[in-house]
Amino acid sequence: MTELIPSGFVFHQSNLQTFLICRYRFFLRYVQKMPWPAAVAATSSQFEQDQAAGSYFHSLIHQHFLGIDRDTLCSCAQHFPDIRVRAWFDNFMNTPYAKIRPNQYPEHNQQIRLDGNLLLAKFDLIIFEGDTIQIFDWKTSRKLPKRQFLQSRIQTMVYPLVAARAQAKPPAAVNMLYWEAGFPGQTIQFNFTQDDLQTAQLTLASHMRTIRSLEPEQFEQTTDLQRCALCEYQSFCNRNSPSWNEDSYYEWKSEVFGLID
Amino acid sequence: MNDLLSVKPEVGQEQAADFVEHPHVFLCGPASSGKTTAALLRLQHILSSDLESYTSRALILVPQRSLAEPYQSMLRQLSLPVSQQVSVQTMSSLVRRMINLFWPLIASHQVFRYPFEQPRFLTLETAQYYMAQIVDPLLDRGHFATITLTRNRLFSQLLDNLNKSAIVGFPHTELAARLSSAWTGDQAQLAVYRDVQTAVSAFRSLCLENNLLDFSLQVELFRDILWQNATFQKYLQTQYQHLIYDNAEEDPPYVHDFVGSLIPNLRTSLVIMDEGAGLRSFLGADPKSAAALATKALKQLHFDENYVSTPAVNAVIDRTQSGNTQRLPFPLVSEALIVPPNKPRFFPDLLHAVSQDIADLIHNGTPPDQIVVLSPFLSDPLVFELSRRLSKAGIPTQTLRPSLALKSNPIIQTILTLAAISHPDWQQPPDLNQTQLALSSAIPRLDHLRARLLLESSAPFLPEAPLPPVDNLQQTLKDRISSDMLGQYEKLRLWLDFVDQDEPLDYFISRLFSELLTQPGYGFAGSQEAGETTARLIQSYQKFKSPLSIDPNANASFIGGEFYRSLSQGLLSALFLPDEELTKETGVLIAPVLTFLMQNRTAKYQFWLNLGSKGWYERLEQPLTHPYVLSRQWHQGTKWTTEDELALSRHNLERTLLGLMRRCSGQIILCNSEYSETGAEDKGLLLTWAQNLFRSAIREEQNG
Repeated sequence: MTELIPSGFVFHQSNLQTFLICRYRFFLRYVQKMPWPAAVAATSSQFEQDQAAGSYFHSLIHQHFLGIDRDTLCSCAQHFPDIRVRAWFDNFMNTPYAKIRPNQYPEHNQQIRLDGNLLLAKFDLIIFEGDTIQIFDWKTSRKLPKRQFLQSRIQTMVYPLVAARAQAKPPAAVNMLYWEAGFPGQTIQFNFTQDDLQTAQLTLASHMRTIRSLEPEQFEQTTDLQRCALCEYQSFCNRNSPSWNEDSYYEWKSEVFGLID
Repeated sequence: MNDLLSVKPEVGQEQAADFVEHPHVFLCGPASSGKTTAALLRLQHILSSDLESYTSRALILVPQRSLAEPYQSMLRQLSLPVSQQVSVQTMSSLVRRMINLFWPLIASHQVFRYPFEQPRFLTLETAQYYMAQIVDPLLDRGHFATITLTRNRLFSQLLDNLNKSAIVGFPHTELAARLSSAWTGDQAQLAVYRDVQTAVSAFRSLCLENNLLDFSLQVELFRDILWQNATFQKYLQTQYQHLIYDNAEEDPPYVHDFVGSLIPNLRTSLVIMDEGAGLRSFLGADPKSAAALATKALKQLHFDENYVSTPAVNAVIDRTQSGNTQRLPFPLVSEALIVPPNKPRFFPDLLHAVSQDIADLIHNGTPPDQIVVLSPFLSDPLVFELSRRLSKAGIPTQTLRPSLALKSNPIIQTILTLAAISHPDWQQPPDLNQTQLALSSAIPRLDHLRARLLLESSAPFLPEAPLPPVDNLQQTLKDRISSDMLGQYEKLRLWLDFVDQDEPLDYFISRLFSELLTQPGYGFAGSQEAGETTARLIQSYQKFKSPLSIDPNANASFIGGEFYRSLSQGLLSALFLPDEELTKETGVLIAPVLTFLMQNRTAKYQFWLNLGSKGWYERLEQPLTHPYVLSRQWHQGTKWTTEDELALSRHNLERTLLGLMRRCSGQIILCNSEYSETGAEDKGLLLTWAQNLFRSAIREEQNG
């Protein structure tokens, strides 16, 4: 019999977050790979603009770390139709994170095997300094997320764990910094101890085990209709959810565009 | 794949796989000689021993995504963390990604009018849309007057010319001169070539004015700017340390130039060439240019063995190779090639016989996926009829066609017709038949007859206002249609009436789909197929609007109308399916010959149809371009003659026959009817080849 989740299936923060939001959405999107028209609420110019601006901003930072000169990048940022991008890029270039150093890898993918499963992280920037790993994640939110909110995100577990476990020698420290382009002075940093990493490992392994153990009918729909507000399968599930709010928008954006932004 | 890897490799395969002992290898051999298996072994060795380093990476380069399947499959099955460090690419995907990533470097060269604005990548279809902006006025002024081609074929040949100049590596301004210098016929054609030059040069100017990047411009920017840039070179060197380049013969020269200059900077490389292939020559594939990569290798290997074909088929392969006139024993020929005893008169009878033969094979234990039905071209009736007959016998089928017509899909027709009704600004109202079909599809209980009566009841059908309000309907009609149905109809009509003309079409389609068509009682309710198809239509529109939307003069209504017009005129004809959908199904494969060959898979039984067709070997008629005259191997100033054409046909036929036979592990069934699919008595070179083969075998038997 064919496995529901094939052995080569790659878990990442985006699909694990989806699973926690709605098991059925995970099933439709990642198991059945069923294309479906986007939810009406998710088709607005604001969403499109945010996605395009966020994606372009990430490209500019990537290009900076690849060695393209600042003036050229500023000219590109200046010509982007969304004026926020220029301000974001200026903000970024004025931070210490823009410094080019050895052993730094922008837009870097790393994968580990955890409990027999593949787990992927795509870092915006990862730096190895001695036996310390520093992870950076650039965000372009309209509203500054709360520390507690970020702490509860799967991403905050997946990234440090993958970064640490991918090394032959365990690092002494793993830090992860969320930097919001629109709120440049308000960084949120997490410092992970070995205990934190162990907890993350147990939690993620447990999620992956659960996913693999489920039969198709056990991928149940969420009971929280707010979570359906921006889901593309809303019409497939015959759900008329309440309108979206900032939290559901942030959640949806980081879930759908998690690997970009 | 596990089977492949568990087989003990031959000495040559071991050598090819040993990346430590042989860091730079050029491997050549015919199809089915174990080259890709050797490459898989090499990749496995690299994965297990060399990608431990955090930054070490491998690039698998293939000319077409279908050819990457063995590598993707192995990576999926091995399921290793380091699989992430293997990048599987085609050159065109690599070029596009690199241009996007390094766009600021290109911008600083000031090639474009607005260099620091973003690039607007064109697909083949959106490029045709822009080419239409150039060519339509030329057609109005009488250019291309002697050419009888559909508009989209005309546009695609013009774009093909630009592509050839880029991938071969000569200035596009030389196109007319090159084409003219090889021409031997009517002098009026020279004026056509001048028109070609006018059109392509104007198109290029349009692209440079508007940051539009068709495929040819992408290649030129990559080759002339990025590839020369030190920052880009440094990036590439840190990205890839290992290269496996498979089916190099199916790529054009610019890819070989790139690979040739990449190899010295790599730790290891394996370049594989399929001898006797070059199936995509009409697209610019250049086996001679690929063969030159051998000089970059420290070790050259040649595989001869065919691991797939039976001895009988191998004997026919040997006989078919150029210059081989040996006679084969009749039993051997008839073991390789089956000629059914009864030759049907008409093509449908032939399909009936073929489906019976296939049913017999499956009944006797042949797995359906070991059977392929091949024809130079696949018509809709052929696919429909054969699939229907096999399906009736409970046999699954899989059709491999590179594209499906977007506008011929009934779900898409329904959505687009309703969109046209609700967008009078487009000034492209649907006709009575389209509206009737869309109504019946949107409201399934409203059958065609009632839908037509409804549309014509109060007044003659008016395309500009096609849906009459229920209040205006005559009572006699209201009595014939249930109030439920009338209610649904009125809800649909009102919904369409209140559409904001400035709403982007993708948003409109999303809303139409979720707010109306998937609601209980409407045609898409609970239909997974409708959801998937609608999602693809939206994707297609989004690709179309991407380059247009940056234009401040292009508002949502304009872009929606242009999309609809382009679809109606056949410019956007294709709905491209992702690769996994082409390969995930199993069953009897029905495919065009070339598509099958480019899948690089084998089958036990091959049914060859339309044997008399010239499509087995003749190149497509392309009055505006010429893949061979524009190739790097062509000596400029030489004339292309009828002898060249004939020699090419013979070469193509031999290449196709050998390619098919080398991928056949059982028998080939030659299926022919007195009258072909088109109703003609075709007698092409393939029939002659088969007849000669059997005649000489019979003579051999009589003599022996």
